[in-house]
Amino acid sequence: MTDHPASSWALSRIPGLGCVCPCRSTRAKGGSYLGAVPFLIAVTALLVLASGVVLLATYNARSPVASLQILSHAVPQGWLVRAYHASGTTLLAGLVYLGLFHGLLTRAYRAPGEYAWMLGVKLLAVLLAASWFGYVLSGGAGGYWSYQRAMMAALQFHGAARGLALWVLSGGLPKLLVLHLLLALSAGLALWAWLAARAKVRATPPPGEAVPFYPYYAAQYLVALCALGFVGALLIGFLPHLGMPALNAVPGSGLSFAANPGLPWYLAPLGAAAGSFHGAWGGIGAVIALAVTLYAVPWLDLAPPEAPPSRLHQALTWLLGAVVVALGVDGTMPGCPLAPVLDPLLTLYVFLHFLVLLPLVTWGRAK
Amino acid sequence: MAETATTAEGAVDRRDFLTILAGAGGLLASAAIAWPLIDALAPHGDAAAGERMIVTISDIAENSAITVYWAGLPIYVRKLTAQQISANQNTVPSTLPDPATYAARVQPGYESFVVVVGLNTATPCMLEGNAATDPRGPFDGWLSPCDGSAYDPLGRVRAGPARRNLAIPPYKFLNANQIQLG
Amino acid sequence: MMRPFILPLLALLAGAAPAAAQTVPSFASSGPLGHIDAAAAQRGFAVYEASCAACHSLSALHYRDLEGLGLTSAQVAGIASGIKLADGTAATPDSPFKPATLPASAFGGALPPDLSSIAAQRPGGAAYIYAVLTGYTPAPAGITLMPSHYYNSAYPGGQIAMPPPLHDGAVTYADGTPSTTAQEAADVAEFLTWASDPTLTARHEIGLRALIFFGFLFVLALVLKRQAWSNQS
Ligand code: HEC
Repeated sequence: MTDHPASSWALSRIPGLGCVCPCRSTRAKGGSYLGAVPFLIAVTALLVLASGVVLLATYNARSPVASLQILSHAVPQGWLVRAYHASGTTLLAGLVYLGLFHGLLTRAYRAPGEYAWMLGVKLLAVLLAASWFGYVLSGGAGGYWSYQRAMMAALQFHGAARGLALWVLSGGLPKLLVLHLLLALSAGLALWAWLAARAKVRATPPPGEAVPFYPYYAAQYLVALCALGFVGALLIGFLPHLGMPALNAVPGSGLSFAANPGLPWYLAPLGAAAGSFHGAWGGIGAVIALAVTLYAVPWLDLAPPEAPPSRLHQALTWLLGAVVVALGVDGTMPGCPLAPVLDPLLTLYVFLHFLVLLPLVTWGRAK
Repeated sequence: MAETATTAEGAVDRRDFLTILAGAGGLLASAAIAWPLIDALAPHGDAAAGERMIVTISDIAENSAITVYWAGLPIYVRKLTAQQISANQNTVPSTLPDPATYAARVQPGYESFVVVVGLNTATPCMLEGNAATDPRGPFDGWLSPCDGSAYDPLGRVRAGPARRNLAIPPYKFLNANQIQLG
Repeated sequence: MMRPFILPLLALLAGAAPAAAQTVPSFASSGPLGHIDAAAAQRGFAVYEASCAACHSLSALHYRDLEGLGLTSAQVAGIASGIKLADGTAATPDSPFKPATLPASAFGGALPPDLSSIAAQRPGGAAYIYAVLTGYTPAPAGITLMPSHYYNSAYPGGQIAMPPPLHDGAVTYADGTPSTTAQEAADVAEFLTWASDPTLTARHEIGLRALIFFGFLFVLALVLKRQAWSNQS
């Protein structure tokens, strides 16, 4: 079966659409449902962007809590739009984490996929940055104190670093809203670039092993889409505050003081990692080091590109996933007494995995 | 042979049906998901509350008008004299550039009050004629200082480049002393 | 190592669970399929007006929001016109709920919190509010109360600056329900649950419908996928 005439008409006329739209590709048989994750990411990102644009009609950065109250009390379906944005972010972050984890498991980063992998890491970074600003913009006490802490950290810097940090953070919520929008835009662009890069380096399967996207993978994607809808309905209808610190339901103000405000679950692993190092420089250094390490994964894996990952390699990757989840769980529980001991250990393990264990287990296979 | 052909055809039929059903379900789901995003941009209680405005009209002197600003527009509220009423009551609408009866320009029970947007309908500028001492033009209503269009006290255009009567904003009488705009 | 400040919420999270000895009634709004009981919430509004509004604001609500509890706009206009605002004029349906009038200094520095989203802010929601409102008991032997504090078994730490706000017959219900303290507490808890989550009922209904729909579509898509692949394997 070939393309629908309408889709080939459009695809041959819009540059750039063909590279992200999976509909023309031929795929190897037997691909797993996880192959649909990038597509699900794109769908969820559209929902989050669209609801964000609609939120702008009511949201007021000068009186965030009051304007969000109007949104949920007076605007028709306003609560639902907000739920799309909040639960959509949860889905989006979850899917991007999942997609990257799948990439680690299957060594999707190996040549010629290095650049696609790096764009995926960039997508995660920009998405998390955007979502931190969104958390602050909610006006809840959790976001408020997270912002205050960032400001206090910025003031510990000197010289250019201080100037840069204050350039980012000062100016209150109206300015942070601008950065939120810019970051959301960059996340959209990073997503586009990631999808295009993946499509470009996708290996062409040998003729006997190939099937056209439609109807084989179209049907598979539809199943995945329905599962996404199901989970989305569950989140919006019954778990609207999943992974949000309870403190964020309190309007943020100097009165709502908490020593450790907590972070939404998708920021929690990063927050816990940053918190394990001393001082503001330690935290920022840890985050930068993590990003650089992830970027470098294609070169830390020494096995030849075509070799399938070894048993041990896969087991270690699963262990890494568990460690990141543990970091996240720790980060969502402010005041967990184990955190000061556990967080640095887990964070060190993450670095150990990429910088020592990964080269070691793949080195043997290179010979 | 014939038998296998029919089963294969039946399978294809069923698959087509399922494809259509799934497609329809997908469309329905997309529409249901998109609808709140559209509905949320509709006018709502809080915005409407901000757009409502109560104006006291009991202290408007006969033969003069006050200006209030509503939704960014200058609104003129004018109290007519008995003489102005009788002069305009029986004008034959079809003789006017933009035909309108007296009853269409006022609200029943409050026939001496005229509420209009005080902007000329040709070159948009604020009209003169609210105070009895202002230039009002030959019809004792309003006069446009920009292009000379002249209106009668009901805000109907009588002369000049303008071709349309003054717009009437949404309003209602709360009682004999107050109107509500919006 | 963490010291929870000001917000008892954190104390609750950290495990300093209150000694809730009372039996808490079941609320229509609790559970994954819960819905707001409009009649109870309307009674709860009456309790709020009579017994809480002097100290606690409800700044997120406008009187017109009460239409969400099934009141007609005429009824809401009637309720609003009976409320005198600070400048002496009567409230309209578009007025925000009247701010509290008692000075905060009256309670030894403890601020009566705004109740707009109290049910979402406190773990336990309606049940916790009910427990606090009915949890006043004489202080057990050996406990010295801080000045202008009351012993309350449901409040974290046991000592609350809020004087017992309810008593039997504090309001007369329009629907004739006997106004016992427990009834008042349950009704006002339901009302505050609605105030902090006015779309709870709709959220559960829409969520359930969407779950069923996507579940159905999922099965359909799975059958389609099986059929599509059947000639390949
Ligand atoms: C006389 C003033 C007063 C009245 C009347 C009053 N409260 Fe309070 N309330 C307070 C004060 C003061 C606090 C703060 C207590 C503290 O911090 O120890 C408080 C706290 C609360 C809290 C928060 C408890 C917590 O977990 O922090 C709730 C809930 C509450 N009140 C509900 C009500 C309800 C419902 C009513 C009406 C039935 C009511 N109050 C009537 C003064 C009042």
